[in-house]
Amino acid sequence: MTILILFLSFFLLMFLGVPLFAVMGIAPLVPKLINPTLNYNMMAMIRWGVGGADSTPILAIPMFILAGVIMSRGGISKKLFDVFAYFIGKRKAGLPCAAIITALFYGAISGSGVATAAAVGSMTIPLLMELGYDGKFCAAMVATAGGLGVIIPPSIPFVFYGMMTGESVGNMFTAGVLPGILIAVSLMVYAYIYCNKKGEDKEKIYAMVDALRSKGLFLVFKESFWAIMSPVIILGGIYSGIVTPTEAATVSVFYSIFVSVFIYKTVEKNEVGKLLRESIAQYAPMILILALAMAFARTLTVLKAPIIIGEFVSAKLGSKIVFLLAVNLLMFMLGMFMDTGPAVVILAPILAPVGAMLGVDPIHLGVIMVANLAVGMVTPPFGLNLFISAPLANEPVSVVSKSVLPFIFTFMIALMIITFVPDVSMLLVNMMK
Amino acid sequence: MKAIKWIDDNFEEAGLFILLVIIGFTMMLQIMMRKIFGNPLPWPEELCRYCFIWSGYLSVGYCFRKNKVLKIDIVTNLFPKKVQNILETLAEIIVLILLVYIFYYSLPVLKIVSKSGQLSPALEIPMSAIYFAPVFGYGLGVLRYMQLLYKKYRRANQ
Repeated sequence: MTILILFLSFFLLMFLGVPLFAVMGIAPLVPKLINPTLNYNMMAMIRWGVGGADSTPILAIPMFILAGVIMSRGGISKKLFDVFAYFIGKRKAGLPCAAIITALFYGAISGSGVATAAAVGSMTIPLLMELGYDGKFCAAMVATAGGLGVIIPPSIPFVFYGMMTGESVGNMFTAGVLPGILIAVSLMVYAYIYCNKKGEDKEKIYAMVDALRSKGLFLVFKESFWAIMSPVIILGGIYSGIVTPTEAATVSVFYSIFVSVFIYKTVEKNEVGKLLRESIAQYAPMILILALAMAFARTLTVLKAPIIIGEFVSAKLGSKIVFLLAVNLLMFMLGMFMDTGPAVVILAPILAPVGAMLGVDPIHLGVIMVANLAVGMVTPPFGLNLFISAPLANEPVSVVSKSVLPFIFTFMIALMIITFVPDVSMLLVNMMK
Repeated sequence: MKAIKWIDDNFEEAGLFILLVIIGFTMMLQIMMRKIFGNPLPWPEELCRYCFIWSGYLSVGYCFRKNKVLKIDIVTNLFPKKVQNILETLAEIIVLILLVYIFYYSLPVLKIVSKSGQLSPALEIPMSAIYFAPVFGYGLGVLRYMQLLYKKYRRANQ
C-alpha cells in the first residue's frame, strides 16, 4: 500500500510537469505523511543524498561531458570519417556506412548520444548531401547512429546506472561493446538496402574518395592519428586495467584539450573556459537530480519495494520474458521525451532489483534500458536527436521523422536480439572475469 | 552595483567552474602520482568527491538562475492553456515548499554532524564542511527560486 502510494505520487507528479528533482524528493514524503511511523525521514534522506554522491565513479560524469564538449569542437569526427571513407568509400553504400562507423568510433570517445549526433552529423550530413545523398536519409541515419554514443563505452548513462545499482562501471562498459556493434551493423544493413534501391551518384563519390586516396594512406592516417588514439587511450586504458573509468575520463579531458588546442588547432586557448562553462550547463541539471535520486533509491530499499514489486510482477506478469518486454516498452516511451542520463537515474533503482529477482542480470538489464532509451532519442515526434540532425540537413523535423522509421525498425530488431540473447551483453563481461 | 550584478549572474557558475577545475587537476595529479611515481597520495580522491558533492548542491541555485530544470511537459502540453497555468503554479508552490522543507531539515543534520566532531578519513577536515553543502545549496536554492518566480510574475504583470 505504502509503495503503491509512493509510485502513484511519483508518476502523477512527474506527468503533471513537476520538476524531476522535486518529484524524487516528494514521492517518498507522501506515504510518510499518511503513515508517520515509516522508518525514514527528511533528515535521513539528506544524509543519503550526501552519502550517495560521495563516490569516485560518479566523478567520471563531469569529466566525460567536458571531454565530449571539447572534442566536438575539436573536429575529431572529420578525421575519423576520412580514414573509414578511405577504405570503404567506393563500395556500395560505402560513405553512409563510413558515417555510421564514425558514429561508432565517436561513441567510443563521447559518452552522450546527442553529442555524437551533433559531432558526426555536422560534418557528415553536408558532405553526404553534396555527394548526392538525400538529406532526409542522411539526417535520419545520423540521428539513429548517434544513439551509439550511449551504448558504446564510455557512456554517461552507464556511469549513472553503475552508480544507482552498485554495478561496476567497468563491467557496464564491457557489456556495451557487442550490443553497440550489433546495432551499428543493423543500421549499415539498412543503409545498404536503401542505397541498393535508390542508387548512388558514383561519379561524385569516386572523385571524393580518389582525392582522399591521392593523399596517400600515410598522410590520411597521420592526420587522423591523434583522433584515433583517443578511443584507444580511453578504452585501452580501462580494459587493460591501467586506469579506472574515472581516471580514463580525466585523461581524455587533458588529451582532448592537448589535441584540439595544440595539434589540430581547432580550439583557441582562450576558448577553453567557455567550453568548461558549456559542460557545466550540461551536467548541472543532471547532478541536481542526483542527490535526491539517491535518497529516493535508499527509501525504496528501506520500504523493501524491490521485493514487493518483484513478487507482484512475477505473480501478474508471470515471466521474465513479459517483464523484459515491459521494460523495453517503458524505457522506449520514456526515452522519447527524457534524456538518457536522468531516465536511468530515476528508473534503475526501481527496475534493477526487480529484474534481479526474476533472474535478469543487472548488467544485462542496464544495457537493455540504455539501448531502449537510445531508440527513444530518435523516435518522433519528440526524439531529441531528430531536432539536432534535421536542421543540419535543412529539412523539417516532420519530414526526417518519416525517413527515420526504417532505421528505428532495424534498431528494434537489434534491440530484441540484445534483450533475448543475454550473451550479446554478457559474453565479454564473463570472459573478462 | 556592478559587482552585485556579476555575483547575481555568475556566483554558482563561478563556484561550479572552480570545483570542476580542481577535480580535473587533482585527478590528473593523482594519476601521475600513481602511474609515474608509483606513490599515490591518500587525499586526492576524497578531495574530488567532496568537490563533486559541493557541485551537486551548488547546481540547485545554478539551475534555477539559468532556468535549466528538467521536467516532463508533454502531458501537460495537451491540456488547455488555462489548466496548464494552474498546474504550473501548483508545481511552483510544491517546489518552493519542498526547497524550504529540505533546507529546514538540513540544519539539524549539519548540527548533529558538527557536534559529533567527525573528521574525514584522508583530509582530516571536519565532516561538517561537507554537510554544510546541503544547507548552503538549498538555502541559496530557495533564494534563487524566489528570484525566478519574482522575475516570471513581474514579467507576466507587465
